This record gives sequence, C-alpha cells and structure tokens, in this order.
Amino acid sequence: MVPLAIVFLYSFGENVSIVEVKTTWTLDNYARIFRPEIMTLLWRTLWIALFATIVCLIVGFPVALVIATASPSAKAWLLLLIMLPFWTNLLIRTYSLLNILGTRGRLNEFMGWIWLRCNDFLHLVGAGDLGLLGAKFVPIKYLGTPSGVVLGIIYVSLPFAILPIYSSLERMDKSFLEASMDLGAGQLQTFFRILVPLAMPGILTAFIITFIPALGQFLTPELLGRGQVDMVANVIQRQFKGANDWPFGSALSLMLLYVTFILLALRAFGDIAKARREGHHQ
Amino acid sequence: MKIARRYRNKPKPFDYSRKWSLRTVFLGATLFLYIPIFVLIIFSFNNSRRGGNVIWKGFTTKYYDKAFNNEDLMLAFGNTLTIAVISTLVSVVLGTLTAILFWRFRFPLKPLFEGLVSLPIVIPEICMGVSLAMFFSKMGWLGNTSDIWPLNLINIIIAHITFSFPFAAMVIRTRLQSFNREMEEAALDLGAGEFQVFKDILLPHLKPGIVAGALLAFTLSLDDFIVTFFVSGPNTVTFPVKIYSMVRFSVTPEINAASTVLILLTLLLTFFALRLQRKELDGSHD
Amino acid sequence: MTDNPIVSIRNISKYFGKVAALENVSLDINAGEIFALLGPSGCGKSTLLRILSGFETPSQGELLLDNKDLVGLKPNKRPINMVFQSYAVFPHMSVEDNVAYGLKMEGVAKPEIKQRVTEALEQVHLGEFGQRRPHQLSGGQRQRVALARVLVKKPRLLLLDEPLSALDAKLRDAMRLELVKLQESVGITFVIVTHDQSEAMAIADRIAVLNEGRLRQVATPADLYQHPVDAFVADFVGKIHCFDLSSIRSTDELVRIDAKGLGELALPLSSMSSQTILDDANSSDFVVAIRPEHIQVSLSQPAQADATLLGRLGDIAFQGQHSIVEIMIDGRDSLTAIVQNSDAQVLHNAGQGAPVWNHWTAANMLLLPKDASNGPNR
Repeated sequence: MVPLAIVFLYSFGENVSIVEVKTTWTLDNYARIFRPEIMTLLWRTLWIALFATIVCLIVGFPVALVIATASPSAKAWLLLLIMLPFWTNLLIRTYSLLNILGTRGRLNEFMGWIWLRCNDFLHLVGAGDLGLLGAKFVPIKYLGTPSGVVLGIIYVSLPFAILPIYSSLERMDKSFLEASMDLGAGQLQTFFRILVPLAMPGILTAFIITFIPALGQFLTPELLGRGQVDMVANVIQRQFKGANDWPFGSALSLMLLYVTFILLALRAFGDIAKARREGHHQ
Repeated sequence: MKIARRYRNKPKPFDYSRKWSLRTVFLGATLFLYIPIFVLIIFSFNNSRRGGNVIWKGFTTKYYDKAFNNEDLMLAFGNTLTIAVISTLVSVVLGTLTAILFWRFRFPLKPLFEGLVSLPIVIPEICMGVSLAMFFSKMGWLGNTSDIWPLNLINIIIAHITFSFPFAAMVIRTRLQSFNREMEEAALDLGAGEFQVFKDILLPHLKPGIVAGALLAFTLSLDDFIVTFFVSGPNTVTFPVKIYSMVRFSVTPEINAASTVLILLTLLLTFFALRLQRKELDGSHD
Repeated sequence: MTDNPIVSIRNISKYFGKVAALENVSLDINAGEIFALLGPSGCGKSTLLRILSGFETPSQGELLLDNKDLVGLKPNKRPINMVFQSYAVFPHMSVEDNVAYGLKMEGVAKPEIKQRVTEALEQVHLGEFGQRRPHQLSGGQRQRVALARVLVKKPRLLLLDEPLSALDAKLRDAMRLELVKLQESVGITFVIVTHDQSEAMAIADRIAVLNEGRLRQVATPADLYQHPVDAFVADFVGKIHCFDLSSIRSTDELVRIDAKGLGELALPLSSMSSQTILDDANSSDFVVAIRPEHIQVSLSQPAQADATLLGRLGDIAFQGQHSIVEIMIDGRDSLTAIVQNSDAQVLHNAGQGAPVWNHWTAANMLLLPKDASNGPNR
C-alpha cells in the first residue's frame, strides 16, 4: 500500500506535460526559444547566475574557512550566525533589499556619506577646487539594473554556498597542510596548491547548489529588476499567469530542467570517474 | 647559558580563524547578511505613507495595527499556518516511510525511484511550480477547488507535501545510516514482532531525524512562494503570496510590519529547534 | 658515535593553559645518530617533536640547531623535515609530484628535480612507482613516498612520528631494518617518536624517556635497560619486579637494605644508578628490583643465594626459545621468571601449585628511586 502511495505522489513531481494544450507534438515552441529575444534572455540569465555564483564562492570560501578552523565552541555559533538569515523567508529577504538598493536607499546613503568625507578631506588638504570627485555625489542606480539583481541573488544565495565548502574543509586532514609547510611551502603556496585542490569537491557542490537555484530565480529579478531585467523564470511565469501560453512556458521550463540535469549529470560522471580511478579505497 | 625567554601566543600557521584579514571578510559577510533585515525591521516603525518607505519620517507603531487589522492578511496567515501544519505532518510520515523503504529493501529500478524522490530537492522551484500547475489543471484542481475550508487549500497542501517530503526523507535517511542493525536483530531474537521492533527500537532512534525533518518541512512550507503562487487561486492566498501582491501594489511600512512578525516567528522556531536538538543530544547517547 | 651535538634543547617548557605538556626539558642530539623520544601517551613527546618541526612554539626555552636558535622560525624555513604519522601523502598528486614538491618550493631547476626525485625513489625501492597515485598504493608504500619526499631535501634533521605503529607485525620488522639501513646510508640525524619501547630499543642509538612532560633519562638502549634511573624507566623498558624497602644503610662498599618479603640484603654500590644520600629516612622513596631473566626457579631450596622467595608454581608459557614461568607469592603480585626449556619441563612435571624457590644474586638487583624527577642522569 505504501509503495503505491509513493508512486502516486511521484506522478506529481515529475509530471511535465510535453508541449501543447492539445498535445499536438509540435516543435514550434522550441523553435521560439531560438529567436533572438529569447536567446538574449537566456544568455542574460546565465550570466547573472554565473556571476552571482562566482562572487558567492569567492566570498563564501574565506567565511567557510574561518568557521571550519574556529574553536569547537565558536564553530556552532558562527554557523548559526551565518545560517539564520537563510531560514528567513526568501520574499522578505528580497523585499528588504528594496530599501537598501534604491537611489535614496541605505547603500547610496552610505556611499554619499563616504563621498562627503572624502570631499571634506580633499578640501582639507587644499585640493578641493580641483573637483576630483565631481561637483556632487551621484547615487548609483541599482534597482532596475542587472547589478541590482546580481546583488540580490548573491544576498539570498550566500549561506547556501558556504555550507558545502565548510563541510569539506572541516573534514580535511590538517596534516596535509602541515606537511606542505614542512616541505618548504609558504602560507599562500600551501593555500593554492594543497588546500584548494583538496577542498574542490566541496567547492563544486557549492557551485551546483548555488548556480541552479540562481538560474531559476523569480522573485529577485521581479522585485529588484522592476521589469527591466528579466530572467527566465519571470518570462515563464508570465506565460502561465498572463499570456496564457502554457506550452511556451513549459518549453522554457523544460530548458531549465535540461540545463539542471546536464550539470548534475556532469557532476555524477565526475564522481563515477573519480571512484573508478580510486578503485578500492584504502 | 642564556636565560629562558617567553614567546607570545601568535596564531599558528593554519589558524585561519585568528587571522584578521579573514576575520574582516567574515564580519563583512555577516553585516551584509544582517543589515538589510535590521533595516527592514526598523522601517516597519516608519511613519511614511508614500515614497516607497525609504526615507525615515518618524516613529510609529500604527502599521502594526494596520497589519493585524488587515483581514485579508490575517486570513492569509491562517491559511499559511494550516497548510504548514498539515503538510508537515503528512510529509514526515511519508518521508519516514520512504527513508525506511530505501534503507531496508531492494527492489527493481531502485535507483530510479531514489532519483525521483530527490528530484524536488535539486530542480529549480519554478520547474516544480510549472509542473504542479499543469498537473492540477489537468485534474481540474487548479485555483479554487472548493468553498469549504480547509478543502480549498488541499491543492496547495498536496503541492507542499510533494516538495517537502523528499527533504524530510533525506534528513531521516541520514539518521537511519547511523542505526545499528544488530539492535533490531537482538530485539527479534528476544521475541519481539516486526511491528514492535519498529515501534520500540527503530522509531526512538529516528526521533531526532524525524524532528529535524519536521522542522525542515514546516519551514519550507511556511516560506514557500513560487510553487504556491503557481498553484493557488485568488481565494486561497498564503502569507508570502499576499505580501507579494501588497508589494506590487505599493510599498508601505505595513509590509515591513507583517514581515517582521514572520521573522520573529522563524526565529522562535529556530530557537525551539536548537533547544530540542540540544536536549536530544544530551538525552540519547547513540 | 662521538658526542657531536647538532641539536640542543635547552629548558624547553610548553604550557597549554594551566597544563604543562613539557616541563624544563633539556637534551642534546648528536649528529648522525638515531635518537628516540620514548614515553607513554601524553608524556609530551609529540609536543616536543612539533616544537622541533616548528608547528608549536615553546612557552619557554631555546632550541639550537648548529648553534642557532630556531624558536620563532617558521616550519617552512627550517632545515628540518618530518614524516607525519598519517604520512600525509598528497592525494591529488602523483608519487613523483609528491616527492618533487619540497624541491619545487626551494626553487630547484626542473632537470635537477627530475634527477633527484628518481634517485630518492630508487633509494626507497619505489623506482617504478613514479606515475602512480597515492590511492593506488599500500600503507607501507605510502610511507616510503613520505620518506622519499623528505630525504630528497637533505635536511639537517629528520623527524619521524610513530613510524612503525600503523604497520602490521611483519611489515614492521622489515621497515625497522630498512629505516636503520636508510639512515646509515644517508647519514642524516633521525629523531623518532614512539610509545613502543621495543621499537625504540631496536632502532635507536640513544633514547630519551619522557613522562608527564618531564625528561626521565637519556641513554643508550643498553644503559637504559641495565642502569635505569628510576623505577618508572626500569618498568617502561622491560618487565621488572619491585620490592618496597623498610630500611637502608650505606657503607663504603655496600648498601644494606631490608626489603619487604626478602629480608635483609647487602648490595654492592654498583647497583645504584644515582648518587643520592641513602638512609632510613628516605627508604620509602626507593625500591629494590630484579628482572625476570635473573630469577632462578627451583624445586628445592638453594644452598647458597643472596635473595630467596618462596612461592607456588603458576602457569608456564612456552615461548619457543625459552619459557615464561609465573610464580604466585603471598602478599604481592606474582613474579615472572624466564627459564630454559629443559628446566621448564622439570617444573612442569612438578605440577601447578607446587612450592618453588625463587632466588637470585644481589649483584643483579637494582636499587632505584621510585621517581627521579630532578632531571636526567647520563
């Protein structure tokens, strides 16, 4: 009885119908994908997600390193500190960025304050009239631009990226690092030649679990992009709720699924190849 | 013979957590993560009607009043809680059964099923939303399914169960891996029946995993937006969906107030979760 | 081996909070010798090794290599290399790359690296394994990679952390020989940390015995065995039976003691290993001891013996070359004696529980302080 119930529920999860409302098995919708505006959309989605993911990894790695090498009592607290925002609702977190990133928002306020201080300093040293910083502070527009969306995605994805890296660093045998140093390598050399390669599995996992959700982001581009910056998910949503063009929406979301699966398959093949090389692990 | 000298406690070569350069990055990241939330909470007290609630105009708590008196909002909140509770209960049961099934038995095409169960975990939420919407529409369950509460929420509940029970199953499965099979065999040897073994031996061991899975499922349901958005109709609104429509309409401190309440709720949940976890760790020595 | 110290450890102490991992340890290590740091877990030997390699800084004291103080010098700048207990062979590099790593860090030219790596691998009998990956190697092979990796750098000092503990018995014996041969051929000073006294005694030229952070004795294996500085050291390096004393009197040539269970004995002064003042006042600080191989067991009372003890025959364990006989004595732990097989046969025929006389000469006895905590004696 139980297995049947499970099968029944699986049919939910993987029920993505093929193409048309009337199921005419046409490939028109897929063809539409290759039109320039859609390709631009996909390209933009890819780049935003990629850029955000890379920044998350670059910032996440040091943070994970700090937590992994902290004292055991501190570790739990630090981990909690970083993970707590993750538990907060995605919508709320994205919404909170509206106040920060607006032209009159907190970030620009802060930059303006810095500008004033620098300007005052320049006046102090007598270079005031040179107008080095411009006549007045020009706030940077984040909302409605790709940079705002990227910042938004970084903001919601960062805790996600930290966890796998932390996990892999925590498990690492410290004696590898010490051996490297003993043999004459400096801190930096040890970091790049030994630490990073050995942490690579964690880094790859972090990449995948950050990149895939980033590709499918809806709320962030919607709220922070103000209609100017669309990612794939926004267009998909419009097909279902607005344009009522369900087949096209399905085609697009299937594209997204394909990309996801390709990435996962690559990862799986990588793991299998590695396992085969290592054979009978000692 | 020289006199012995003392050496200061410098950080050792790989004591990264003591290096100031890394500590700064950590601090920066923490600030980055928390400042927007704090700003949100602060601005829920802002006395500003227009202008997108960006400029501070004075302190007031009237928007909390507004939020609590907003019938639609409160209804949405009630819906969210109902959905979360029901979906959590079912998810946990399903998750436990699934986990045990995979741990215990071999059956044909097992890897396929394992893949299917982990599907909701890896795919982007929007794909889940799309596929569930299409499924429901084929079954005629999309939007309003009934006028009787809570049946009108049933489709959302089913959707939530679908994407949260794999997470619960994953957590429980991890806990299962630490189970010593011999305990089960010892109980059988002493005369216990299969069901008794399950009830008296396996279930208690799984308790921490079940609790963790339940909390995870609850949080996922509480926070869900995309899937709910795709599956619900105008009369069946959940808290996040309601807030979304409010945001699209106009940004007021009322939204901040409602959000702050949700944040507090989440914090409370996390606090309880940790408390439970600590008690479990102190209590059971497995 | 001439006394030619290349390393001097002077008054080194290390505190972790209030706990003293090392307290006021001083010793010299001679060039070209195999030196062992021996002691039970927690005695501080690993801490001392880490101080030598540079991964710990001492709270106090000096560490001189070729008369230069190393304290404060980072590990990668020291002419000292270590073979870690886990070997720490880098899993993401081939054997060759592992061995070449240290040379790469030194900035040695590629062709020279290639040549030295090949030589080093030959030296540890891994000549054909250059391209293999660590996960394809057995534990013993990985250890040899770790050895090659450090030998290729020709350090002034080579540290080995429990080199034989991870190997199975047969491999251990083989590796023991190989290590000694290797050291002889390269001439580098080795410092080995181990908790296994038989290992230390078999390999080392000199051994330092540590306990609870303090140095007990530094001596050659033979000296350590025959002239232990106190009862702890004596017991650590081999089985020994100790008897409490109720009185001590010393004259010019003899020391007269009254040992509980043995009665009055006169010992020649040579059985003393320290020049402390002996009298009844500190008799409780001393014990008199005898090693199993010096105990004679007979079925009839010996006509002439310095020390005699009556007991009952217990188990006889055949060991191949000899037998180990257990004797039960009233009022104390049982004794073990090492007995020739022919004699053991006689005892065996007498049957378990038979009364036996255990005797030995006073000259074989050791008069030892229970705890010589005032530093080492040479």
